[in-house]
Amino acid sequence: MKAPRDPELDALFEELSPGDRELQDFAQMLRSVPRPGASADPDPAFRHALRRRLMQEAWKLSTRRQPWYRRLFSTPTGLAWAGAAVGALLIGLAGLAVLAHPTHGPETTVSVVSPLNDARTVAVVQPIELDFNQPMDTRSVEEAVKISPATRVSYQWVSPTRVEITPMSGTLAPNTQYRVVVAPTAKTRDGTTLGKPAVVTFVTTAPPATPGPTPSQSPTAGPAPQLGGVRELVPSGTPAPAWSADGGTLYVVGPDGSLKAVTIAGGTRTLVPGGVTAVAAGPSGPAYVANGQVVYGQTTVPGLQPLALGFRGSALLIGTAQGVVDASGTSVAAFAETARQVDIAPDGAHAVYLGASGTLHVVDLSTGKDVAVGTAAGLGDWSGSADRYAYPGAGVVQVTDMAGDVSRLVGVGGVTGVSWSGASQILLATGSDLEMVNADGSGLHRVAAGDFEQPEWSPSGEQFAFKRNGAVWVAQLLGSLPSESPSPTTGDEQGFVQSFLNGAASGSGAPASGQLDQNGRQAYQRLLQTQPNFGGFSRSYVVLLQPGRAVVRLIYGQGVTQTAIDVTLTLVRDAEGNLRVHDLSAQPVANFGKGPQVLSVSVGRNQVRVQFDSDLMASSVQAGGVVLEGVSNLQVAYDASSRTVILTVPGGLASGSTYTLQVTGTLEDVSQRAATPYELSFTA
Amino acid sequence: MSTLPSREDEQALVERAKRDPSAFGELYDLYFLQIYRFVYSRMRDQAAAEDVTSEVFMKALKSIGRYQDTGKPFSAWLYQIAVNSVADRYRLARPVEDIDEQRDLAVGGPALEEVAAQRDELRRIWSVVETLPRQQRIAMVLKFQEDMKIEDIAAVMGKSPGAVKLLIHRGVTRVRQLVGGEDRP
Repeated sequence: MKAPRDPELDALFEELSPGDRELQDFAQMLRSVPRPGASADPDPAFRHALRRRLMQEAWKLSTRRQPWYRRLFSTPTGLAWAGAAVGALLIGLAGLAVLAHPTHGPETTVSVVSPLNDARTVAVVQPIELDFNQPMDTRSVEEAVKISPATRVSYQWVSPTRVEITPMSGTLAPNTQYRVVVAPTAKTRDGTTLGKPAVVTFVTTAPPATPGPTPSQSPTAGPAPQLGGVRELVPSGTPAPAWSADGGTLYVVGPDGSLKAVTIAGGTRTLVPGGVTAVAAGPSGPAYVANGQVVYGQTTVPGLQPLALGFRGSALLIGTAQGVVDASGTSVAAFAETARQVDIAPDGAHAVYLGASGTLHVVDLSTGKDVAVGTAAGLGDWSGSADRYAYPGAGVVQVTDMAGDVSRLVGVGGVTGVSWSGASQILLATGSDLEMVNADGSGLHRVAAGDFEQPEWSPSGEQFAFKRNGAVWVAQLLGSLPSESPSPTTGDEQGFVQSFLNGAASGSGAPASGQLDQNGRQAYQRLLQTQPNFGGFSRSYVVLLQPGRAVVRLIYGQGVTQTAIDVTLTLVRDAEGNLRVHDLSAQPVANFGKGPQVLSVSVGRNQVRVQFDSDLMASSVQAGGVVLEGVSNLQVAYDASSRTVILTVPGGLASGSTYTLQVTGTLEDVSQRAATPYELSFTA
Repeated sequence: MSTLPSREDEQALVERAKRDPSAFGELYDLYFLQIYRFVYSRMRDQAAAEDVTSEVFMKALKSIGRYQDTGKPFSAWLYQIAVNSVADRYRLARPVEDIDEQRDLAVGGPALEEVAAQRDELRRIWSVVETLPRQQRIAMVLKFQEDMKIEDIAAVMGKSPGAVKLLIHRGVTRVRQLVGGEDRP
């Protein structure tokens, strides 16, 4: 990809060598010449080790900078020395979690630290790191770790003294205080146990805002009830984005040829600064083509003109105009005619290619057998089992099996993009709208009008990415039945609620008077009588946001002492259209932090999605753990990856009716802690 | 790696790291690859590059409390440490024969023969850059490899933007002379 001109360089040379256009061009050309070593990949072990050293050093600095004994004994001068002396003594014993064995000397003291301790904006996609000062007996540590809220985790020991704990779901819950306790039973390799439990506490960040569709920018402009959670991620260049295997990250090639890893939960990182022309997701991360080379981890394959990248297990496969080769350049299969486009199956067993003649071919990558299928208008997508391939033909979308037997899927013309989900739903982009059809050809319906380039289901099928107006977007399409997007809540209501919370938390705790109408001011005064410390909350988040109504959770204190209230705000607009709080009331959240808690609720036409902070026992979900009061034919599903219970009401919720969501004591987390009953009303 | 957070996000992150050094890890994650590659391109030796990169980030961590936002990207500060660390490394390793000085002396010498042999290979154009005087070379690397703005390069090198412009202009002019006209696209 040719980089755009740098205007600063042009100005420089125009200033110092006016009129020497050739020199200007030469300088611009220098920007695109790769410098030896400029793309050198560091040893991951070095990178990891250095980070660990830095964090250890950071911890020492933190301890030196924030001696808590000084805070404890700060004001009275006469106590300063005593405080320092006591603090110094206690630091030797405590710190984050210094666990002294009473009968051993300092050399046998076992300590554990974590860079996450006391952090309050921890990203949800991040392992919990624990660093010990001695090589540990890994099994005893894993048995000693308890995490609250209940979370299924895996342990990766990156060294004898360091473990990374990763949620099985891939992410931590947002807006959640985590408390990790290492019980005293954890022991070193030589058998020394921790004297006291070590505790790490941190709070995760809120998920990125998911603004509702707006007419000016959303592909869902107009009545398109099937689409929800539409949001723009990052600017994109021509290559198609690729989902990571866990569906948590999209690899996007930017307009400047940079390769970015966009975390769906929030955050973007530039992996390669430029020159990237294609990307695919492999089991060990992204593989990409940059400056004519294929790069995958430590593997670099020069001298090819790749048309596609794929994998067989962990082995890289490269599709070229002549065939498919492996990372060593050895031919895996040769094509019968020159290929214009290639698509390698997810399991690496087959490839399809569109030949120069316009004929689609299926190639068996084990035997090299090349079967000409017939004329195609473009490439399409593989079925989840990789044994069928859907592709656009003339006025139809067809499906071929690996023997080349073709069947008609559906009569839709002008299809420019095909994506086949693991749940056998096929998205078809036509340039003017997005359609969906089941893999058996049934259920064709229009999802939304608009331009949806290169739609691509996430591996879980929970959402899909697409391109529009030079950017990558994601959207959700819930379930096989067309489901309603969450009720359209305008962005200014979200902003207003956040502003209200900011006002409440600042200064005296009083929200700006202009945010309340007369009734709201009276309600606020009444609230203060029962909640005099209303503005003293340590954090907050929105549980439910509907037009005219919001439920926000205010959390007071931290650690094991935290408590919470849910505040319901009734929102109205004044004569000028400005939002005002018309009413507000508070309800304590019983036993907050002592079992599974509701984090957020979103309401659609026929679905209610309830996200929890804990990994739940799926059986308890099905046994009536989460219900809608008075709704008898409720379909209940649990999505463990997002800790979300999905309640589907066949026939849909009655518009305008009020429902009550009930979390019952039947619901249990994976630590078999029962939920405290909780209710939340909403209007469909 | 240059993760390119917004200026505001970067400022917030740096401020957080100043208050709480454990937040420095995020800055490390953001800029590690960028700094490592820059250092590696100067050292051309993995072990040396690892040593210097470690030194850069350790210095940055210990000094971040004193870091003052001057409106330049945080990476400019890291580059400044990196440039100095590379220079220190060579001074320590070769107190008399500074490799940079060797290269400075090599302009017009044997390296040019090598350059001549490589003149048709566009990708080796940087070998010509390596023959430039040290200040020109650093300015060229920061501009053309790291894609930095002139003001930021000036901050890294402790020079005025005008001086940096002159260094780049002279460097580019010299490289064009050395590689010859036929290499130009």
